[in-house]
Amino acid sequence: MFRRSASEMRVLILAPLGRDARLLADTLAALDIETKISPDAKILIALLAEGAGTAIVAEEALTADHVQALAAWLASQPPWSDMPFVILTHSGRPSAESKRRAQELEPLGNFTLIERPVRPETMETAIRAALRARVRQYEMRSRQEALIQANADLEQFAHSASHDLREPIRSISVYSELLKKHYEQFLDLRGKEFLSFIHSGAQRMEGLLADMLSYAHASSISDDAPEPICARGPLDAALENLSGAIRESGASITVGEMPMVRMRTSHLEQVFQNLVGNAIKYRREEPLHIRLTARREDKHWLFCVEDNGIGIALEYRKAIFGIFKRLHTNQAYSGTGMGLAICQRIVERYRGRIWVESELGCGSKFLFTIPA
Amino acid sequence: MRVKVPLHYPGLSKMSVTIPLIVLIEDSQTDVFLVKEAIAAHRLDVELHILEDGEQATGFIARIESDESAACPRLFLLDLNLPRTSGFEVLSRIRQSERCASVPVLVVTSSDAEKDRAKSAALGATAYFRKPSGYEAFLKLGEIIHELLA
Repeated sequence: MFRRSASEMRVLILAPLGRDARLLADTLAALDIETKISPDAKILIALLAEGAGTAIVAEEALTADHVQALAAWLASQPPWSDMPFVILTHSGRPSAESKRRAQELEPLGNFTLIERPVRPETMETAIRAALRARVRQYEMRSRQEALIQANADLEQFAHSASHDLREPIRSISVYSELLKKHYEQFLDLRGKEFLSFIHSGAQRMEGLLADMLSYAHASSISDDAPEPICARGPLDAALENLSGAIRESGASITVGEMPMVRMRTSHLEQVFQNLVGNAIKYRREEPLHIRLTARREDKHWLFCVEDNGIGIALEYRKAIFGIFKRLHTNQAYSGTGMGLAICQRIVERYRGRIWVESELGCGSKFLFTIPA
Repeated sequence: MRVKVPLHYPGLSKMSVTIPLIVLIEDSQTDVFLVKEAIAAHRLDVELHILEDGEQATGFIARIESDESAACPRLFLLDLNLPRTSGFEVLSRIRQSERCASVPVLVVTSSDAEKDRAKSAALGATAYFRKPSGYEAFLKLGEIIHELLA
């Protein structure tokens, strides 16, 4: 399905003493396994970098320096790769010494020790097992590449959608407004109503497009953790963005101490804004209280946005995080049904989790974790 | 906006008495109309020249370069999403042009993408106006044009 170069299934051999390497290569050739003999550890690393299925290494060829150099190369492997090694050890060594030797080789990570003299069938099964494991790794790479491509496609699609779809919608919006401005006097009640439907439809579509774009952006958040920021900054920014709605609703908001987290400011701001925005939107008649807190729990920070609003019925607790998922009509509570989907996408991209604890009529507690 | 100064007034070039020329590069009829509305709403006395795509724009720049007597615009209004030759290509072409290199370019686009803002700035756009969905908000464009001409 994806590119796999010829070198990626070959078996590298590093066994500089005597005819070891040659004999191994011949044995494997008879099994139709491609090999490449390396004269020393330095060249072995170069060959590994070009691609290999596995490497057979005689332990006498590995000084502590070589092990370190190999470990450095191994550390630079892409996430999908875990190069398997087969190490040939000396025979008849006391087990204490073998154990010590195995510890020295520990930095190699994925290795199997085989004692010499090696029986051909032992060698064959060991090599086949290593190659089989390697094939699995290549499959993992293919899936990761496909995933990266799919995310890039989604991002591209959303960008085009926001750009190309927004243009005609904007025209509908502006020109329905102009029509109203200049020609409303010529329309009867029904005509005026139709015009307002056109206008609100276009505006709603614009909201959907903007949210779709945010969602796609959240999908393409990179895997590298950014520098830590104080969560208070994006929280305040979110509250500032919502200041109109907060004032109108008369909500009282209390904020606990906020930690440092490795997130992009704009992403955390969006999560807070969507959650607090929801708390305001789905309030009850009585005075609204929103409480934002964070506390350390094990290896992550647990954030909580708690309100005394209408709450969410048990059966919808999962569904509300779906894209374009809404529980209410637009007349009751307007929205695109994307807010929580975006939150979930962002939190999950940072290897966190988001969920809700709620009872219908008794407020909601939205909780999310971010690795500390 | 028109500067009323006698032609023989010392120290002033002929350019300063002519009506500022604005070149609008925009393929959408609906937006051309709105740009005109914005200019009219702010009573800007300008000459608006409309080019409908990127090729017309690059052709226009080539003409200015080959003909010294051709008037150089005081401002470009540039849509990014143009058929064939993109707005970015037109922007680079303007900045490479000897006579137009320092003419302000106001990007006027539907896009709010950070990428597009950053790329516009990197290619030398003077300012960025995101086409809003409201009529009144669109008229603000006139104010920005006024400032860029000042």
